[in-house]
Amino acid sequence: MMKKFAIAFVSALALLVALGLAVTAQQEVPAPYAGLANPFAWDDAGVQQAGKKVYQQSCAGCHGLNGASLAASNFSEPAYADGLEAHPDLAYWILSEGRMDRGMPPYKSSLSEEQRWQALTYIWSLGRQAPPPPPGSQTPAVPDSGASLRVAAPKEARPGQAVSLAAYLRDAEGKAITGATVRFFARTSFFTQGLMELGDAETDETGTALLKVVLREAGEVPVVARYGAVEAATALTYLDNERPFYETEVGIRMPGLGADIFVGPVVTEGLGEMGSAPGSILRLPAGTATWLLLLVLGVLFIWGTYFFVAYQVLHISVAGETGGARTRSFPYALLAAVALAGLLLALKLLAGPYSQFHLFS
Amino acid sequence: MRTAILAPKAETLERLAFPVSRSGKGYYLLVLALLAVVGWGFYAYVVQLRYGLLATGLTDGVMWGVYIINFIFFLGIAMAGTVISAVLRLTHAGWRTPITRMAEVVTVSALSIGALMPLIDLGRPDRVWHILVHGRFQSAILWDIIVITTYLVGSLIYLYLPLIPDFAMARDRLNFQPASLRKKVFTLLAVGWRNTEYQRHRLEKAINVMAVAIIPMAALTHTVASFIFSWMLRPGWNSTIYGVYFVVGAIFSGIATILIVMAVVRRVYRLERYITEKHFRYLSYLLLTALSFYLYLVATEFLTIGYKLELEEKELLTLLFLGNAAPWFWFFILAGFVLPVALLVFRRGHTIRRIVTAAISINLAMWAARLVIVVPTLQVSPMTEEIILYTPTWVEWSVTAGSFAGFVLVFAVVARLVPILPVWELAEETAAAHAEKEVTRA
Repeated sequence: MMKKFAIAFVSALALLVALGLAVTAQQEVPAPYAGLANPFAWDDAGVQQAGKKVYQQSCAGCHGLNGASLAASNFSEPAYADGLEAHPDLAYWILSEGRMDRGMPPYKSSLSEEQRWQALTYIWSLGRQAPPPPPGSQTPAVPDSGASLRVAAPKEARPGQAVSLAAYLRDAEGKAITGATVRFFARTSFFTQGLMELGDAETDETGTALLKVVLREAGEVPVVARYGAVEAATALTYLDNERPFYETEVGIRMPGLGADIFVGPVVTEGLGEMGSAPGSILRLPAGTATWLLLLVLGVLFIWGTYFFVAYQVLHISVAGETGGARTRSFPYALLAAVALAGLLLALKLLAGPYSQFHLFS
Repeated sequence: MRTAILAPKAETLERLAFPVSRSGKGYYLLVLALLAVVGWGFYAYVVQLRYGLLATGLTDGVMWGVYIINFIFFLGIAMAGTVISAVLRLTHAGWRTPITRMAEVVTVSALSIGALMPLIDLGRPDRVWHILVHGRFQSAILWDIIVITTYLVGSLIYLYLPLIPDFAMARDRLNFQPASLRKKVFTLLAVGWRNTEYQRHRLEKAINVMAVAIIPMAALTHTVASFIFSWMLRPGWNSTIYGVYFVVGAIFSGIATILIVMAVVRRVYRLERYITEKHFRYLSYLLLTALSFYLYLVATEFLTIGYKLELEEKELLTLLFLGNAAPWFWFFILAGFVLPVALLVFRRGHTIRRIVTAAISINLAMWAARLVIVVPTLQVSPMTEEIILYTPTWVEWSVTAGSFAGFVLVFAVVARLVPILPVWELAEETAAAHAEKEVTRA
């Protein structure tokens, strides 16, 4: 007997260990990504330029303009570029399939194969650059003393709409500065206030730098452009919709007893259909008669049955009393527990938010 | 007026009522091993508490994984007690009496462990009280909480009622020290049972009412558990027959579980006289019936989905039949239907071994079935074109192992505390059978 249990215990333990090992071996690059290599040369400047566009659009938001924003994957480190050269299939796999446990989304649906390799080529170049000087101390390619910068943005935009930000760079004599990199920011508050990098653009022959962005803000958004130590600001207003984006028309309007009771959020009051009841899956009719009462009755009925049964047990104990009065304590406890639990559950239904009875809310 | 129905020797009674082998070493070793596994599962949960759900394979895409599979699985097992105790009781299937107690204990154990699984699934368990305070009744999850609580309490009451005379027997017949704790507890729980006509009448009434009440409760539990899925517009879940699907699946896996438990208890406690081949055979007929019904429902589901083949459903079916969920799906079909039918229909070989093998196969297949229900639907991403991969981590597997060990542990502990055979009910059945024989003879 002992031996059997010992064998069972040891084999159960072994099974557990095997299971544990099996699920922890998860780091290899799976097919079809295993063994893939970059079709472009890592130092191809044209590919890097194309990749830069992809990177700024899709990657810079989290990884930063220099790839140094996330410590877990610092692209500006030379070691990262080494890793890319050694295991391009690993990087391509992570880029394509994502790594959800680290917050990296998959890009195989939004970027073509070419675009992904271009981005990786650009990321390689980030690791081969000299680290950028800290912002603010950047000496611009063209001296900025006396330069003037003006930034323009459309007055209004709708949420989700792409807008073009334009920056006009003139030097001290009023001549256009060409080939200068202007950086664009938006002042955002995201747990704290700060300037969010939007991207940078180069000025053309007329000294104009254009950047197309889709901002995810609402209301007035301050936009800032910088060239060296010169700064310019403007504001852009994303129009808030006064109405919710859509009106839900779920549920069936059933007649009810009593006057309509409004239970939705305050801003939706007066919106017509949506204002009369919350747009929930199980829409309530107005008034006192509501199918919620059916649920409450059902719960009370079942718990009433339990109470009836516990009452029978009490009768058993009373009939069996021969001296020891302690025989009644358990049935009483059972009755109390059943009554309490049943009433609590029914109350839970009645007092919940949107239950329409406004108990405790 | 009958006072003493059964007056066998105290040793027989003790063996029936508390059939623990005196050499308790095996039992304690089992409990120790189970505690070790539960402890390991608990450690894994602490890791999850420390690192958050990052320690699991769950993502924003596949947000329900192994934990919810276990939840539905344990809920399914919990159907066993209701079917055996209540349904068979109301149909006067007298052969079921020896196994009612262990079936009810299985229900209570499975429900208590199963109810923990959604809590383990929570990333912020410290906020679970929000459900009680802010819970909206429009949520299927709140319905689930209400229904599972009700079912658990009902099962406990239904387990307790036939125990009253057994506790009374233990109080009177077994030799305890007068002031011992066990005697006090038995006295308390026996609520003064003296086997009078009046008391028997009350108890019969109580048991009959509970038997009728617990059946819709069980059906409701699984139906509401299915609503968590079918009240969502996801491919595969957006089905109207999920209520019946889950209830029948639960009956199926419940009967399979009780067969396994029967075999184990019979062997461990040497109850071959009371749990005979007949019990296994009759339950296997029920199992086959449940199998046919469940197969019919599975076929209907897939035929209906497959015929219409909406875009997302096409992704789902590809995933199930040919994709990375295929091994689980085909295992479910083979081990859940093909193998059991082969074992149960072709009656070659040792009966009990055949039937218990079929039952084990079915239980494994039903775990795979729950996986096939929960995970592939979530893998079909609603927004992009991709199939989201889900790989459970060691944390999830460890917690699963811990929960299964916990289930067996609760069963083992409760089986130690209450008679595993319903002594009083057995005596009543025997007396009733004798009385009938007298009547037919006269």
